[in-house]
Amino acid sequence: MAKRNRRKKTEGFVIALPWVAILMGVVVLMLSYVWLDARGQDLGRRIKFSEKQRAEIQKRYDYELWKWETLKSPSSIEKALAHNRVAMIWPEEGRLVRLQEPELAQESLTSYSRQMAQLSQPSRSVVND
Amino acid sequence: MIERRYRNRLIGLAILMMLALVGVSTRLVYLHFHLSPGVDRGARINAMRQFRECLAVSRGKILDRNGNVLALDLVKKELCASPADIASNRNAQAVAEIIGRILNVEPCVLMDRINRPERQFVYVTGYGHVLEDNQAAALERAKLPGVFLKDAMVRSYPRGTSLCHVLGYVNLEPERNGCAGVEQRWDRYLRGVPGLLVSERDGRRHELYDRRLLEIKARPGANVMLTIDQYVQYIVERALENAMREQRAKAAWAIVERVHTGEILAMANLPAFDPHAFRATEPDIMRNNCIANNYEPGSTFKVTVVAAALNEKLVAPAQIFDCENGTWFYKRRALHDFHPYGNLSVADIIKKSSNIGAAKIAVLLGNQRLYAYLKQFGIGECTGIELPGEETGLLWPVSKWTSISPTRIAIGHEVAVTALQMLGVLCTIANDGVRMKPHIIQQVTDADGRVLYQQFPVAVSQPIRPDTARLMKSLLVRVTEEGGTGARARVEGYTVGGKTGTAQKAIPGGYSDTLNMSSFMGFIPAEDPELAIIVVLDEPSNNVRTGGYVAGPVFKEIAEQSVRYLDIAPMGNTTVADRPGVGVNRGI
Repeated sequence: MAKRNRRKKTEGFVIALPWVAILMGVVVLMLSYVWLDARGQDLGRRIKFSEKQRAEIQKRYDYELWKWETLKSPSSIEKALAHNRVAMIWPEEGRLVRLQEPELAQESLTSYSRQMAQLSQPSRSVVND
Repeated sequence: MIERRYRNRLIGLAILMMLALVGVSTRLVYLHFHLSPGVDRGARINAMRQFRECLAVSRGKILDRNGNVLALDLVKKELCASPADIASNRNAQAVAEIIGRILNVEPCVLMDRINRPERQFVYVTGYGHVLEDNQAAALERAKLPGVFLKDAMVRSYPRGTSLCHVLGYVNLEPERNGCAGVEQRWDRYLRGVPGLLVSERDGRRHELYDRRLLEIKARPGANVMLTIDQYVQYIVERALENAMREQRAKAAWAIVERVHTGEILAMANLPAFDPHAFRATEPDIMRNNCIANNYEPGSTFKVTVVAAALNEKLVAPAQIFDCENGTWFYKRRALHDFHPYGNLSVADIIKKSSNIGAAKIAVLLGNQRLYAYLKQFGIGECTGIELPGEETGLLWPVSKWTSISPTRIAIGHEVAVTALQMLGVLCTIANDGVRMKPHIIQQVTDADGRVLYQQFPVAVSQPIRPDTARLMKSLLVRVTEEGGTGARARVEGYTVGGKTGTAQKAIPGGYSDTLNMSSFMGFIPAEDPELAIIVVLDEPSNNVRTGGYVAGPVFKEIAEQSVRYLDIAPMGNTTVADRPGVGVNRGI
């Protein structure tokens, strides 16, 4: 068995392999942390931006809704008709041709049927009958 | 080969760098996980960074029965400034001139507000005043130093003054409470629940999303859908406006109700007010007279007495009463008719609106029975409509009546009602004797469309039998026929039933000879009533001030347009009595 030469030394600065691995692991962990942090912040920014955008769209929607409702109000329509010199009147009863039973048309007047009104019983006892 | 001295230096450098790295890392860990030994300092930094924000929530919308928006929240801009900043730039005058040019306001008015260097914050155009969108855009473009725009949530009413008394109004930020009408009564549903945000900001005061500690989402207010139809409402308001102008009346109000369900299709009051400018409005003008004004109804009240007497079979339509040629002394007190009559049948007492005839029927009925019927008709108690400030009316207990009380109550004096109560009496007759609870709310739904509240038709009582009600309907139809007091309320092609009322207004010490409340209430089509309408004009000033002359044509205008709009067909020439079970008994 050859005798180990104690005088023979490795040249240069050498770090043991396990230490290199640990160091590399730490570096990877740190980089991952930085990357995740940056990613989280970016996502946060995007969420904030989307939140703002949604609020802005809601604002615009409400404003457009307001404009539309103002525009289609009966008084606005009357004004527009008058402005364009359009005179409209309801047709006389005798000139009407009904394409459906008037009762059915009346039904659409309300979401409650007349039957429902019939079914509702007086809550108090009937007197004076 | 590295020399020994270089190697030592390299090792030393590496150790130094490692130490520095460890130090920095330790500090980062301490900072990141709040492990700083100076607890107070850490808490102070946290307190500086941390903020709690109440997440504003918009109020729910108010809609008409067809989903048209009557009230909604809008985000507008308020013009604010930091006078201290403006003063530091020494350009207050220039700023005032630019703002004045954009807003069309005198710069000197603005100077009063912004030339206060000791103040950090002012509302340039006053608290609660919001800018038009073009003005806000122009000011944003101007980028004036020390001047900025602040978001403000405002309640907006796209129909302006229309339906103002029903909708009410909302006070200014931060409370934003509903203060009248539907806004007040349904505030609990409309206001929603504000959210909460607890988070941290960076040095530039931007929120650090990843440091968001708590976020409770705001729950938007629920939408309230009314039974009101915006077009019927418009018809009513326009008719009242014309009547106010023509009759030079002090005020006017009207209600349109669906007979079979009690749904209110329109409720209008004039003069109206702008709900956006509620701070500049007199409280009296903001009162909803339809439910909050007790008035003596006059002759419209005769229907209760006659209906009660017919129901008790005390009288028959053809029974003759002596109307004393216009003056009747009862208990040594005189009672007069507007026109003198001799003998009149019960049917004609209603048609001609004879005070003496009605008074005699009331005496025949007796105090206790009269009182019981009036209570059953809902006189002297709230109808329970879902609006704030409803008055009960005034009906004294029998123990407080004088000997002539029944004769005065019979003609609509010594008793006070609201227009809604009076219309309730008519609807009861038109609905075959069944009194329905009037309602103005159809349903309440949350932002996701879930129904939180729904109002169904509710029958309250049945003061008279169906056959009595049908008889009364036929008598009321005669009022609008030739020779009746309500002939001016007739609608071409339809049969209308109704009753006129002209009451002298009570003044201190008696009744005024010049001040009247003129009213007309009616239903259409009389054979199977679908709509009941009441019109009241307060203090019309023309020479003729009777209900039939003043309010009848308003009824006609409202009724003839409403039946066309709602496509309610006329029933032909069949008489009411020939149609057993019309109304309630005819189910669809």
